[in-house]
Amino acid sequence: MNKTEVKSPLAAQPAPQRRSARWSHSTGEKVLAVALLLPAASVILLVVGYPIVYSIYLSSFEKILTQPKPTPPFVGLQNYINVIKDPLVLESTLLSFRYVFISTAVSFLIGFALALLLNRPLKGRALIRSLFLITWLIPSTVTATVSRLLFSPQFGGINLVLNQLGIINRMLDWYTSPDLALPAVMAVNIWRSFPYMMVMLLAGLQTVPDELYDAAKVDGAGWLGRLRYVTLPSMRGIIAIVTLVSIIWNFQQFTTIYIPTKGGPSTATTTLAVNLYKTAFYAFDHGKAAAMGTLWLVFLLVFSALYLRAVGGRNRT
Amino acid sequence: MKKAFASALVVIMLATLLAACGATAEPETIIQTVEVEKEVEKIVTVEVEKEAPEEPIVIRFANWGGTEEFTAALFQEFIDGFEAQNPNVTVESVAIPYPDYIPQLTTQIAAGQAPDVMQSYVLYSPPIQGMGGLGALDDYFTQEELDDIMEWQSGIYPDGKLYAISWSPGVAVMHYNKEVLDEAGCAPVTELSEDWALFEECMGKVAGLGEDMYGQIIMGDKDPTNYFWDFWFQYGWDCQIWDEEGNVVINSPECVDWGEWMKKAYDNRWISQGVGGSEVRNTFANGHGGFFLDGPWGPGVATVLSGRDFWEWGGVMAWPVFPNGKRLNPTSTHQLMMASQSEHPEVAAAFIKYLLSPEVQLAYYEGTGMMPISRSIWATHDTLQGDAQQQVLTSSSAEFVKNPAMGARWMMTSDFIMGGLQEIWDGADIQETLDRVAANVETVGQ
Repeated sequence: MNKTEVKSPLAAQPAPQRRSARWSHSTGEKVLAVALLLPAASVILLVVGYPIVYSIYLSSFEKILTQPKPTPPFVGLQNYINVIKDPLVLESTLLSFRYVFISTAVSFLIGFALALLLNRPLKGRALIRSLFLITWLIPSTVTATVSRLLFSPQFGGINLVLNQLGIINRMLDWYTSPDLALPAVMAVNIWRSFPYMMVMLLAGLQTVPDELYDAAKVDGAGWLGRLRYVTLPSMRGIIAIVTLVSIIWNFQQFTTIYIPTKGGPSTATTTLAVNLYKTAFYAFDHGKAAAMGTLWLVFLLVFSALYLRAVGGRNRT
Repeated sequence: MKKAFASALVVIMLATLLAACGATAEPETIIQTVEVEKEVEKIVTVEVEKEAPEEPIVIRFANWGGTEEFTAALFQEFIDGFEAQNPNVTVESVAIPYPDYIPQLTTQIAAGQAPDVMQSYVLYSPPIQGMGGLGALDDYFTQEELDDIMEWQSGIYPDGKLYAISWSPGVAVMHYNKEVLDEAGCAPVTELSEDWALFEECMGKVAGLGEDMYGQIIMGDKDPTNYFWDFWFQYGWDCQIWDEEGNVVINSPECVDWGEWMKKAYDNRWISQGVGGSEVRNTFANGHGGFFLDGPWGPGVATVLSGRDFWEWGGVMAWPVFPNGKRLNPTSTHQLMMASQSEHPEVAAAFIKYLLSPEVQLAYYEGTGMMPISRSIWATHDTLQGDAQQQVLTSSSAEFVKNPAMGARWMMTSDFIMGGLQEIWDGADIQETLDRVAANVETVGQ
């Protein structure tokens, strides 16, 4: 056989044509991918991107609804300067940090404890899990309205129970006492949000391989040791995500604060979200409110990136 | 195959998107109309005027009445009645819950989607007028029609135009629980309403009945609309927010006196602590207070909440004469407004006139207790003279005063003052607190 006559089927194809076929195939897939993503991307651009861009644009104008002008004056960074100089903004930001971190930490601890409990063989586990989920499924408006009744100084159930248990000896004005209002709105928020933590952490717990626990037991690790050296490291990623989501949600939390207290008494529960709402809909200063929202967005983006790097990053390595 | 499929998909999606963006009803008709209007404007105008009643017209009516159990059916009856008289007109009810009314309405107006007609109350018209959202009503009413409306708080603004017309006086009077007052050993209400010291003494006696008892139930939470129900006390001490020149004077010595009295009243449970809009009526109706300031709907609501006819256990009286010798009667006038953006101002005005007609005003009164605003109705319906609240008003020769926080951004002003009051109740230094409130109010403007 003459070797020179033997031709590989691939060798018969000119090289440029092969590249073209691959390119064409790859391009087709890309076009398909873009086409499939287009509707969702369009919706996201419209309902998320446009408001963000418009809000940033609005923040550089003096736009007070009750003082209409044919062309709102361009003020550059003045709204941002007003926001930074406003003592109430600083006060409400610090209050938001307290609200967010205490709410997140406590709901995490409760959610994690319940997840550990429900991860064990337990009679009626599904029923208990469903019951806990109810508070998370109820709309926050309903929760807030119900909480207003529960914490009522005259006929609220909380006072009644605490009084019967001998913990208090007089009816407390939960939502009108500057010392009690913030703990009360935080308690409602924790009550509402811990089921989310519980469900997500329970899902995470169920992904930890039993072999790791078995090995830890062989090594002599007790319950606490297994929690510290097996459970927590295995769940670092899920913990990072659920706490981050919870932090962002809690920063945005408005309904469970505004409905029962309107940010009062005085400014005891005026978080950044409530302050922003009042700036936009009490004072009708949409330019300043947009500047507050933009600064807040930037802060949350930076915080999220740093947080994921600090908490979730080591998990990837 | 995949390439062809992908290309087809992209074309279909783009076509769908473009079609969705450009969708308009019968574009040819619109173009044609514009051309005709340009060429034979006068003739077409006459034709439109002749044919206008036949054209289907839709107007939107913003209201909170449609969201409330007591008034929803009544408001629908009003709409049905107008539609029956005007078969070519459809009135779409834009029912907005009362607490969300201003934010939702201002957002709709800012977005160019203003409802044609809006139910309002005296504090709601300033922000909407301030943002240019209201159309003047002067041209749609004759002087005779305007003269028939009682001189309650009208919506006449600095440019001299009428932007909101009163629909009902919405008078608030002091409701009392006679069983509680009897138990406390208070003087007869006729004496209480003439003597502030006796009134204070009675509030103290009621508070002495138990730790869950209050002399007077007031709204003490931070809802800005609740300030309407609390600020009347300020007048008793001549405490104003602004002086005649427009300077902020909420930190004046008179206001410090008012703050001291409010603190004393709070500490002694002469006034209630920590009750918001949703609880005040329950608290009063369940026998936890001697007095309660409420609107004309008060007796009806108290009857429902207590399960007993209000007039068996309660009554209404004039606001007592304050230490400064003044007697006040708060009003919470309900109004009707027309949007400046309305494409059918004539129809919107016609609907407002219909809502001001005797049959609607009387139906509103019978259904809710909201008193009619037209003099002619009062003149021709003797039964109205027997109304308990009306009797209180006419017999007490009260001084009617406007809410001081009537600027376009009154909600922010209210928020600052209620916040300051809550700090005072909590024990903060009164002068310092009012100084800070004054500085904040200054930033908002009158």
